[in-house]
Amino acid sequence: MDTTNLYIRMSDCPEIQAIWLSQFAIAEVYDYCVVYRDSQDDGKYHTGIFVESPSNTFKTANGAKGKMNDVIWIPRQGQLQKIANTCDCTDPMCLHLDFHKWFIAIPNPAPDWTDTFEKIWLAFTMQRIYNKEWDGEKWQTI
Amino acid sequence: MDKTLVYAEMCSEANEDLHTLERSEKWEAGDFYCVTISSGPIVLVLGDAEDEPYEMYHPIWMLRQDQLQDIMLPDEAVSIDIMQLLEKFFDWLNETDNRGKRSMEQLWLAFVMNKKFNKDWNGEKWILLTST
Repeated sequence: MDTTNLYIRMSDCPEIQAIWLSQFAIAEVYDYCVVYRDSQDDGKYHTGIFVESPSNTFKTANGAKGKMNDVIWIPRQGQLQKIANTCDCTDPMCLHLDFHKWFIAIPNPAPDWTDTFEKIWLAFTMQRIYNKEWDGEKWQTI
Repeated sequence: MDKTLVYAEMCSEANEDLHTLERSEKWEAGDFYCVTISSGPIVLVLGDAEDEPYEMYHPIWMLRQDQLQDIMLPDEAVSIDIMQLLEKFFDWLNETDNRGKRSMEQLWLAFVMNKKFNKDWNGEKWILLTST
């Protein structure tokens, strides 16, 4: 699972976070991998499994607590595929064919977000659903 | 994440082969696993590595896509490794009959089992492919 700073920055966008914020309360427990900053530890990111959010705070399975504003959801590939899948079809090949078409058009040399599958699927999802691409710093509308 | 019993069965049957590959025996936070309790099988996520699943329930490790991909990648993989692995995966998808596989996890597991162990899922177990 990609927990790099670049993937965290790419995930920390209104489109992706809004999906999580609208879902976590009704989702199955432990479904979401999140990162949070520990202010007593040079503001470094820590990874945890989200458990609950009582009164605008969060709690992770390893006991970390904090303000909801300080937590960022980093989606797994399966979660991104769920967002990117726009048809009712249950055949995974359907989404994969579109993903392949998009993938072979990635410019050469490959951008820096091609070093993990999570970043690649996030870039695909952002383009397919929100018509945005990563410019190295932020998501830009195409 | 595919939490179906079909995928749990595929992982269970692949367990012996997958254990021959390098992977720490230790459970990690975020690992999915299936256990059978009195009410039937359930899929759970390990929240904290300290809370290992009870061995008495014979937990089946249900691999996520990134864990399956890690099996196929060198340590410290860079962009070129990822792109090449995706190309290989696409080629394999094109030349393989994958009807009946219902998730990306099932496809990636089948890919790993094919490339690492020359096996294919027949709906019940992983069978060794015979060379023609």
